[in-house]
Amino acid sequence: MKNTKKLAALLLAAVMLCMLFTGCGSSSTDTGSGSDAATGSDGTATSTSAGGGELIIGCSSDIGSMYPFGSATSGVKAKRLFCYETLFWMDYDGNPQPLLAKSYESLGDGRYSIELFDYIYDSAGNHMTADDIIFTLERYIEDGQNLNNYSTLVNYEATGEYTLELTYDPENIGQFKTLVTNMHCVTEAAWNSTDDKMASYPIGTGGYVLDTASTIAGSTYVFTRRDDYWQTDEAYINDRNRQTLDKATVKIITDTSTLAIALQTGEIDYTADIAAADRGLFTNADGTAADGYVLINAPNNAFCHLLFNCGENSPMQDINLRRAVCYAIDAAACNVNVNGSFGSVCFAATNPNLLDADESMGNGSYFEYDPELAASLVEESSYNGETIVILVQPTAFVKNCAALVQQYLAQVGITVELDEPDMALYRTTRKDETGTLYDIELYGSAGTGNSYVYESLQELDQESYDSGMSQIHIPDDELYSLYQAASSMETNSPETVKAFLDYLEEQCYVYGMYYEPKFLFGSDVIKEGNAVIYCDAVFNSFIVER
Amino acid sequence: MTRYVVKRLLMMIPVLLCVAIVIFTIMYFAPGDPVALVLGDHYTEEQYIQTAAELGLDKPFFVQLGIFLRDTFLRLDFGTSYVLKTDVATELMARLPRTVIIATVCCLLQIVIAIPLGIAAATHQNGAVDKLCVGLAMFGISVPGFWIGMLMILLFSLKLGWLPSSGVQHWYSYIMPCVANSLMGVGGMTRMTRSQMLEVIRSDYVVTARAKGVPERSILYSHALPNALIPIVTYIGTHFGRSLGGTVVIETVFGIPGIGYYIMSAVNNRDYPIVRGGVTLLALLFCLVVLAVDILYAYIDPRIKAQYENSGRKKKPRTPPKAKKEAAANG
Repeated sequence: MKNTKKLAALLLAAVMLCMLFTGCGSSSTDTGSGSDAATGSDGTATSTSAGGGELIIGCSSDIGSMYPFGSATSGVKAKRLFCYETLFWMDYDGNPQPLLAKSYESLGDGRYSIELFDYIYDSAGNHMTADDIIFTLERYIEDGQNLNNYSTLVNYEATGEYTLELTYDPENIGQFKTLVTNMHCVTEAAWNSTDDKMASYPIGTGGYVLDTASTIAGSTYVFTRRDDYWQTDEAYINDRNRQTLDKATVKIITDTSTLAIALQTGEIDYTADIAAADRGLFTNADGTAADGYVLINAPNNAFCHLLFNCGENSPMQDINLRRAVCYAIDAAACNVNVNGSFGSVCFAATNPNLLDADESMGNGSYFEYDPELAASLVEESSYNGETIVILVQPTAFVKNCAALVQQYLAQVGITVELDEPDMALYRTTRKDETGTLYDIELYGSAGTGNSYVYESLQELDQESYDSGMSQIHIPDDELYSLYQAASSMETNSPETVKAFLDYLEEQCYVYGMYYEPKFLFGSDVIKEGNAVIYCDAVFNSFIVER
Repeated sequence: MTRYVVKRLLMMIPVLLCVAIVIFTIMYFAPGDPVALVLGDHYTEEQYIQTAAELGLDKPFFVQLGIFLRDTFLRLDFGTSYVLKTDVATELMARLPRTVIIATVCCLLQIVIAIPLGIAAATHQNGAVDKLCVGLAMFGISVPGFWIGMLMILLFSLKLGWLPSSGVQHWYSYIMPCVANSLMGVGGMTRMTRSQMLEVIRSDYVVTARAKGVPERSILYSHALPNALIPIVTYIGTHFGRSLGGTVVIETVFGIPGIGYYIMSAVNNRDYPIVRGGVTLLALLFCLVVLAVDILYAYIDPRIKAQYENSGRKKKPRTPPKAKKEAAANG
């Protein structure tokens, strides 16, 4: 008996020691000398020397395949940056700069003429011409991704061996820029030489090729520098095609906690996928990078918001109830809970980082938290206690605050059920045009194609819905005319955008909650690195020194 | 014996067909539209129809099922991923070895750790060793593998820097996932071995052996253990089969591109070819493991081997002794 007790005590002590050893101590590790390679005022890591070397990138989503099109996760973005190129690249101010195309010219009436370089060759040695760009455009339209970029593209044709023309009717602001900076081009010869749409091996014009011998599908993808890269003219070498790295390794670590540990241990040099809860490991209290790390900033266009189903089948058709919901939620507290000290509360149903939005478009007090007012609005409304279903977008940015929203609404007597489906079911549910599956959508629009206010609120474009009603499930001609005014190339202006946002606030169709900066973390082996707005880092601009 | 194996292999065909039909039906009726997922948020009606036709999703249920069964069983073609555009069979084969490595090492760890622990517990029933072994077994069963995995990453990767936190580049990348994944199995098997051994060492033939003065070591390993092994082998086999498809969490925590994570992602994306192909392959592997376990029985227990050998033979009509005598008398 005595022995048993001794043994048990020893075992318990060992377990406790083990836990103490693993759980305690400083959260940061000695990954480097603690250099001050923090970000500069422009959000880029400051340069100290010229580099080369290997960059190890950590991604929480798998690259999956080398298929050039499809939706862009962090892994897919990395693959595209290394292997494929677009006609232009969007610089740090959001302007198109030459990449495959030398220049473009606006011919008026939505017509654009584009001139390509005449010496472009892909990694298999195929020469790229204007016909290849048209071929790629057709593949993109076939693929269906980001179709909104092409929805008003009425004509596209090669006008010469290296020139092509695009025509929009009507032209929405930003459409041309989004298309030419997001369409990753391939040659027809290369495409036809593979029987799996380049899924297993990429043949692009980018400065890097996939090293299949070192690549482990689903785990590690290795890209090595191309010695025969086509662009040799120094005048056109920029951050997007500089080839500063000898080798880039993309490591797939799907668990974000493990990803954070990998950055701490130096197994990866950079990641854009650190979870909000782990950001404190790499930042100081003032939001700057902690010792041993760099923080590469890029303006973010995502903002968490509620989109109301105002259809006749939903209790949210009552404007008083919609307003009650807005006043019942403490967006500032939600923001602090989700983003710590890094995010900001919305001043309108938009994000000020969008190119045509700024904080002056707010009206001073935007649905400030007032539970008493909310409770009285609930009483004034026709709400009779039925359960309100909130459809939650399955992304961490949005999911983290769903439970808080539920609690805030419960405080004013609104019963809420959260519908948190997986991505496939979510997309099917939100596409339902009967308006019976949910009452509110908790959503955080983002994406490289959302540069303008109207693009981040495309759910309000009733023209793109067969039912003639937008995602708010009622036809509203005034809303649509304001949406058109804010989106049209001819009429987009601070006034039309503000009018659109004011109407959204007045009718309470959308409630903007909070937005946050984009956090791209690296270890201090990265001596220089930049990131494109709304997007990921431009790895070709990285200088790594170990 | 060969006849028995062949018979069992043939019996696998209807099992696999059933699994394939069930998984096809479940995915077909599962809510969530793969076409919408492939096309993104914005698409036209024509676009939808065209993509559905390209993916073969515009055909009636039975036509789709027929095509799937034909491709899978007659052409060994699992199709192409809707989202990734890659060949599913190639991807599954690339990922299978990693999952098999984890499952195999876990089984070996269970055998190496759990059987001695179980024997020690049984032979020292109610003593300190027994309590320690049972305590360890309870710990293994109660603690989730992913939590131990995270603690191990914190200790061995972050604090000590001995092992990589993720990936499969080196052989030692598998140490932490295998240990974390095997804990529950070790706990379960320790308890199973203990209870089986306790039952066996109380049986009459063990008492007789002891009375005859057979050394205790010989009694344990030559007489008791072989008789206790049948349920233990069954447990190992089932656990191995389950590990093949059930290591999703461990694969996620340690960034291992195995079959479990691949299928799980495909379920979220409604990537039917991956889910169907993956589940069918896992079913095949599970059947093979169960068959291997059944064959192993024959080597552990000669009575079972005799049963297998007799099961295939046609029974000859028995001639009564009286008739035999008459036949002999008649020449």
